[in-house]
Amino acid sequence: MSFKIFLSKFLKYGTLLTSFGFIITVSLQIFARFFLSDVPSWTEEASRILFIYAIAFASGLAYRGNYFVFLEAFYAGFSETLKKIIDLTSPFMSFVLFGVSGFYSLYMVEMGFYEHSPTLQVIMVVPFLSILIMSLSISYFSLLAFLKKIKFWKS
Amino acid sequence: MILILISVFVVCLCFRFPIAFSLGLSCLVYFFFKGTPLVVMPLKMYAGIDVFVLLSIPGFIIAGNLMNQGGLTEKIIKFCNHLLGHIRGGLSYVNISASMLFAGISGTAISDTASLGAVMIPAMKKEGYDSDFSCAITAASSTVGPIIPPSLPMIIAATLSGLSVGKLFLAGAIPGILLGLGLMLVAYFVAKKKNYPKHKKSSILQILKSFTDTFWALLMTLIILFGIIGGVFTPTEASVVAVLYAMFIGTFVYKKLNLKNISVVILDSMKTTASLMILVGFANLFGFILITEQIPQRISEQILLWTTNKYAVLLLINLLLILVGTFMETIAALLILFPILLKVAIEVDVEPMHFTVIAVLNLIIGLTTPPVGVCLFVASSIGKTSIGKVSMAGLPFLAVSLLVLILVSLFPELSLFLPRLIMD
Repeated sequence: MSFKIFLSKFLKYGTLLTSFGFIITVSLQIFARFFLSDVPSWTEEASRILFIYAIAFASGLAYRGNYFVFLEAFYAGFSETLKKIIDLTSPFMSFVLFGVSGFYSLYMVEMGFYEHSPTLQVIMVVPFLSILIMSLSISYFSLLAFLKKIKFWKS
Repeated sequence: MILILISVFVVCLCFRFPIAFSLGLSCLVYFFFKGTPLVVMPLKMYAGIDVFVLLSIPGFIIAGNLMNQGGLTEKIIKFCNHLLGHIRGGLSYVNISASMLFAGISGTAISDTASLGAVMIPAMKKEGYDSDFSCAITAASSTVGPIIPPSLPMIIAATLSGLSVGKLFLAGAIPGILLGLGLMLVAYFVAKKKNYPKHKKSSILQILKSFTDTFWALLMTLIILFGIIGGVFTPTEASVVAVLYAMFIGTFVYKKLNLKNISVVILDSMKTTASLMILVGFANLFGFILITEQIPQRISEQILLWTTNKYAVLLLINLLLILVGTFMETIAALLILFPILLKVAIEVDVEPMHFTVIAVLNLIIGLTTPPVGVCLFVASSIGKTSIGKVSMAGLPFLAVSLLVLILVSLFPELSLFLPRLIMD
């Protein structure tokens, strides 16, 4: 199994697990509100962490599947050569952006070692890691897109 | 420095970089030249996404997609057809009313154009409606969706302004209905002039049967709305209740869902949500720079130097938002401009809730404004008609939308009446 397929599967199952986890946690919150004497204080925080992880796992897949919106208005009027240059630049710049974001999220993760979340008392490394996953997955898929564009540059 | 930020953003936008990434790149360049520690980037992105109200967005998107997967679009269209199809140009009203009903489920204009358009445009063409008219009415009617609750732009606006989601949902109800009725009025005159076909009148039994088919889906909107407004659920809880309800109805009532396609829908919805949340994260970063540079204050001061007349300021804001809405996706434009313009509006005594409705209405009208309104493009590609023809056919609809916008801008009660009546 290539790394690309492994990563896609990892992100897919990560997204599904955290999404179902999010739905179950909020459902538990609603259930507790109506049927238990007290709502557990951790559900809000747990649902936030699961949500952020679901987003982090899904973001690479979203990039790969072209889910991001862009402005079409001017692009259509550009010459073919300029369009080709733009098509090459866009994934490269995405790689740079998320590469930088990924690198600096390591510092953020390091900061997380000294902080704890208010109710679950987990070290903040756990939620902060989500941004690293998001950045790395997008930068990986944008790098692949960039390399693919270079490969087919002449055609 | 701010010039660098804006220039990089505009260049990236024009070069068809994703809007979220254009925001991120412009911030990156700004920080680089300013010498700001780049760890601010992931920190601010995280802070932008880690907001409890935003947790409702994936829920609403998943619930809408689950309902759609369960064949809801066709059922809503069928119900509206039985109800209104017998009037001349009946499919036009079916198109608009289906959008109004579907609005409660999908929440975004572009997805309304795509999902309803895929069914309505071919059906209208088949019955002899002009292709450009079919596309134009589909694009125009889909703008009703993001105003009628539950609306994703309203949730985003609530996050940005701190206003109650329930109140904002209610504030959009009357303007949304007005917009829908206005579009129907235009459709009536066009249908009469062009002698478009009408269907045989449906029997009460047929109407009731199609209503029963649609009832379960429509009930979801009511559960969401009354759950939030009645204070039974938070918006996030309401969205998860909607997901559970949609799963139950899709599996046991409509019998079109199973674990496999539920997983596919959830995965697809989370990708859409991820693209939105990255936009939210970078917009938070962009907003942070604007605030540090005191841009909202400066813009506000400049506008107020020029005029302090409430209506002149509203006119300026309306023109700016329609122009931006023409080019840019609603939520992206809202994230970038809303916090700045809200400050200006508050300075001239415009109620924040009233201003939110004006802003959202402007941006969605922009989606059908020629020459580059996004919904026009989507509809014209479904109908395989030139954008020029669709734009021309859409002018009367645009005119009535602008009229509704003027009314909503001039009469705050149209937005404020329901939230004050029900929630204060």
